[in-house]
Amino acid sequence: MQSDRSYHIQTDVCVIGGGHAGCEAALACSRLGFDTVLFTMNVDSIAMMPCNPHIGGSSKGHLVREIDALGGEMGRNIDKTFLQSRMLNRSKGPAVHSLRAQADKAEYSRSMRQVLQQQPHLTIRQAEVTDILLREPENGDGKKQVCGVRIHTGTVYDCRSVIVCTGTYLKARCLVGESITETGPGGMQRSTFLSDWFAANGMPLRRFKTGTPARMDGRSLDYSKMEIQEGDRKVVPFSYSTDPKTLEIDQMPCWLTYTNQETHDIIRANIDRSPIYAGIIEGTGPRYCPSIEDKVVKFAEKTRHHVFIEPEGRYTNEVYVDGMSSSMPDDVQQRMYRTVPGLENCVIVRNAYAIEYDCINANLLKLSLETKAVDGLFCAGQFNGSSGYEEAAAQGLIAGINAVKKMQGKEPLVLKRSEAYIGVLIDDLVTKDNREPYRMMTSRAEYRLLLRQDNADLRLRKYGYDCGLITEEQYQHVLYKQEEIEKETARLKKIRIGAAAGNQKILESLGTAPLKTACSLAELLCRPELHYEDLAPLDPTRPDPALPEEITEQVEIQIKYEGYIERQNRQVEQFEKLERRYLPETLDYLHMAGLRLEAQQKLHQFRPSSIGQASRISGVTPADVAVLLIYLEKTRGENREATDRH
Amino acid sequence: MNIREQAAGTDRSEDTIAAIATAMSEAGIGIIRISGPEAARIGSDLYRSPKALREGRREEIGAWTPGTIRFGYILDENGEVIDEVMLSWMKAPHSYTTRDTVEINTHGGLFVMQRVLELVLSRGARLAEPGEFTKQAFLGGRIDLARAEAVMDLISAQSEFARKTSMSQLRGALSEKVRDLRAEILYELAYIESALDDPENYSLDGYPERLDAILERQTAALGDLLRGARDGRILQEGIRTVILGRPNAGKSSLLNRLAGEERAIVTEIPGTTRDILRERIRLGDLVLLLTDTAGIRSTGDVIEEIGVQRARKAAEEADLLLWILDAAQPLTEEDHEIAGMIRDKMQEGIRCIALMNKQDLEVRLTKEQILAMPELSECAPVVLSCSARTGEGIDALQEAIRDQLHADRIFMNSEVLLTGIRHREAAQEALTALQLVRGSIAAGVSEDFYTIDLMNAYKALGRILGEDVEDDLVEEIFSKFCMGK
Repeated sequence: MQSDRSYHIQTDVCVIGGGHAGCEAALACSRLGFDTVLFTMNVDSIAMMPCNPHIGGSSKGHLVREIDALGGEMGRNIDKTFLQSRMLNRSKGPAVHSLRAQADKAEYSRSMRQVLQQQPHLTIRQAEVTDILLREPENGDGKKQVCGVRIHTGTVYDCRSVIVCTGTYLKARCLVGESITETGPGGMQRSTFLSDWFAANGMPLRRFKTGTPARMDGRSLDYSKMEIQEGDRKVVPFSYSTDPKTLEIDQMPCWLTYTNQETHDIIRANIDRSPIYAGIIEGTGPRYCPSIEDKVVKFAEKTRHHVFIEPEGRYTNEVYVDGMSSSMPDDVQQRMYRTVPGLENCVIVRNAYAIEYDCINANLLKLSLETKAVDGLFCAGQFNGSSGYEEAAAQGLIAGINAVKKMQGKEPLVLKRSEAYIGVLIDDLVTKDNREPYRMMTSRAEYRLLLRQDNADLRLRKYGYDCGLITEEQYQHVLYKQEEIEKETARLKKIRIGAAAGNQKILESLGTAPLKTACSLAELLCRPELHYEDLAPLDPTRPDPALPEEITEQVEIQIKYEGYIERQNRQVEQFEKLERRYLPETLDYLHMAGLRLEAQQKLHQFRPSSIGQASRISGVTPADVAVLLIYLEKTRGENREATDRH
Repeated sequence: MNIREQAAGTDRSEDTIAAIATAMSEAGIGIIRISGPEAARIGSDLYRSPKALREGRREEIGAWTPGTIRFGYILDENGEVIDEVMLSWMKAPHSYTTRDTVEINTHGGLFVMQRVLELVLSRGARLAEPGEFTKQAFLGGRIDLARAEAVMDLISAQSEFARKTSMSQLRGALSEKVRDLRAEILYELAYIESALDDPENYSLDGYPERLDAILERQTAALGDLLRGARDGRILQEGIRTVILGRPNAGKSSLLNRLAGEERAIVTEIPGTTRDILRERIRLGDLVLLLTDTAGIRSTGDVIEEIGVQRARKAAEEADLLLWILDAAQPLTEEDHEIAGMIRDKMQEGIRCIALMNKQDLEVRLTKEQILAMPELSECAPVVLSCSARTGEGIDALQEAIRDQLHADRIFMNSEVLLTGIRHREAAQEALTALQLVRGSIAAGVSEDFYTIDLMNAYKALGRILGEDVEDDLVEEIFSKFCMGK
């Protein structure tokens, strides 16, 4: 056969795709000492940002912090290459504070490529993978195992794990009205072969769609008609390992303008020329990241929509028109953009377009991101039906970690919904019935008060440390931080101050009500208007030198929101009880009395790992869950009896 | 064969089970339900239509159109007709239990009913455990948990009125009300989340005030449900009635009169002390859960403190106090002591009826004298005359109890009643959670905090409907299913 003449190269892991998922996956594997090859259609497109020029934002900022806490690269990379940074939602509670930074796109990509190129055990290969090679099962479980990949030249890379991160490249089509090109994002060459491979191996792919707005020549815009959006004066880093001093840069502004009735009229008059409404696009688009056509149709009563003008980089005059993604024909785009104040004379550099691509139904994956059907085959990123750079990177990191764990014969890292946004992301993708690109949102996290962006290190460093991506020193720092937070919280609860005249005067100067009776400093800190720093004059035994802000911030949150945190913790306890009720992989759901037919089939197909996961599968009702609980209770009783008899 | 031994089989999920499905009563009309794969065969073994009986042949019930009810006879082992019945046939899954079901409506009274059941069991059915039909219905997806529990209440309901309410709950009145509340909460949760994720299209300006108004209405509605829960308990368990009075006022004879009148002592539960005895008795269509206190007596000039304490303790959880006075004797020190306690309890909202007993003797006590007691200057009990010995005044007592407890309101209206401890607790939890949200609004906390407690309320209400399943829930429910009929 052909393989006789093929040139063979030995490695441990093959990562297919060099986007945000592929980069994290390849870095995780190689950093853990496994030889890794990253395949990309084009080395120049590694870590490319073909859509928006920012990292983070509501809930996505949380993902980046979590990636960093686990030992991923995205946070460090954006800290090195940002143009502007803001902490969003500062007026709201700490759970929804969210970091967002504008990136210099070219720098972001270049900098990430440099990190990959300096990484031992990691090589980059520009090639299209045409085949994933399997061998017959060795173990008794009857599953085929990954043993290599073949690239378009015929060369074979023998390996033990494959991580598929093809993003939006597989059989991609880009649409600008009636003009359709068979290209990947940003005009890159698309890939085609793996679609057929997945179909031939019992995992038919589905078609999703997403879109992006136009890029314009910044010189053609009139900024005097827009509101300026500056970055924060004091920039908070994404990465726990970034020195905040390196962030004191000359930031670039963004600009805010609005669509108007005229814009909407043009869109409505031409809606039949939109590929989506004309039925040319087969793929399903994201509801939560709608095109301007979708917004005009769905929010017909709204007279205007936000449009943000964002810089694409320091060494380009291109700007990104956030809020107006579209797949309208070029002539409609030209007229529609020109109705927006400040864009009257705009010059389009790159058109807005919609892109359709093949992706997998993540229900075919385990929570470890390994496919249920093939041993050693992992999938991550937009290929799994997500959308967004951050969602992709998070999956890439977890797939990389779990590919390594599998080779090491260890249990996979599965983060719970109660531990991380990453846990929510992967559980949703793998368990729920997603019919459109999945975007992270704060509302998807049930326990978000515990999953704050400010405590990602306290939540997740231990997992990064356990798998070897976090150093001893970094881990010790988290332990120290945790201890100091507890000590200081306890101290503030203990120190009591009286209603003496001196104290009342201080309180008055802080703009807060006087004391009626003595109270603890912690009780005072519960007043919304008071902060940790304010209490210094009332606090005789405050640690000297002062505790760092990363500690006092946690102390303040712990004390101020104690009641809410406690109640959320109780919710988590309840939730985790069902998560801990594990379901054996070999259960015979098809003959389980009491389950409805639909539930039998869904459970048979999914093979959920716990009752908790089972309860989130669509088509499984609470009554079915009750049946599963009874079943477990019954078998537990029988097992107990069986043991008693022996 | 001993019925209990039969019930103690091993693998039971595919058993055919049978039991008397309606409460046994002297009226003698009752249904024997057979549910499971052998139901039709067992029914066919015992049943003969008039024609089949004449022709001396067997008739396969399983061949009938499902949902058919037919007249006929039940034969015993010797082929003798033992009862005229109506027999109905329901095929899985279109039956209450979702399994093949045969129901035999008997007419011949308690003895015959038991005889028919024995015959059914002798043909291979197993005696159903209490609530097992409902358990099958629940597992078959036929009913939700709230309905399942309402059925359990029905099984344990002790009086006719309780049965009526159980029926209305069964029809889903409670489910509907809770479902409405829950849908509203879900809407608000979704709104807050949308506003957090998409502030451009969903504004939170003025939202806290709007939400507070909604929550004010919802907490009031939940409060009503919980008050209904007390009424629900009265329906389910009976009116907790404490008899007070000094020794020899006639408490025992009244008790005997009440109990003897209907010969309906259902249970005897020894109280926590040997001096307190609880009895469930039936008074017309009311069920009283009677607690007889040992009596408050004086030795010399001193009132025995221990007797007062016991009586107070018994009165703590009472719905109704019955104060027995000896109408043949003038008021004593003990009566004044009791009057003081009556006053305290009435001020807590507990109803009281004073009974001037021994009207058959020479009466030396008037209603006016009782009402003139200084202890009763602010709140006076209803005062009635009766004779426990002759039965005079007992009907009036029944009427007074109905009046006092607004029994007609409780029993007759269709207000939703939360019965069952689990429902009460869940409703209380939801109420507390919504109050916490109102507290957050008042404290000016950011909107993203509201969702924690809103979600708790949503989940608590979900537990009433069985739409939110928690780890311990099923165990809890089925331990209830296994309680007595």
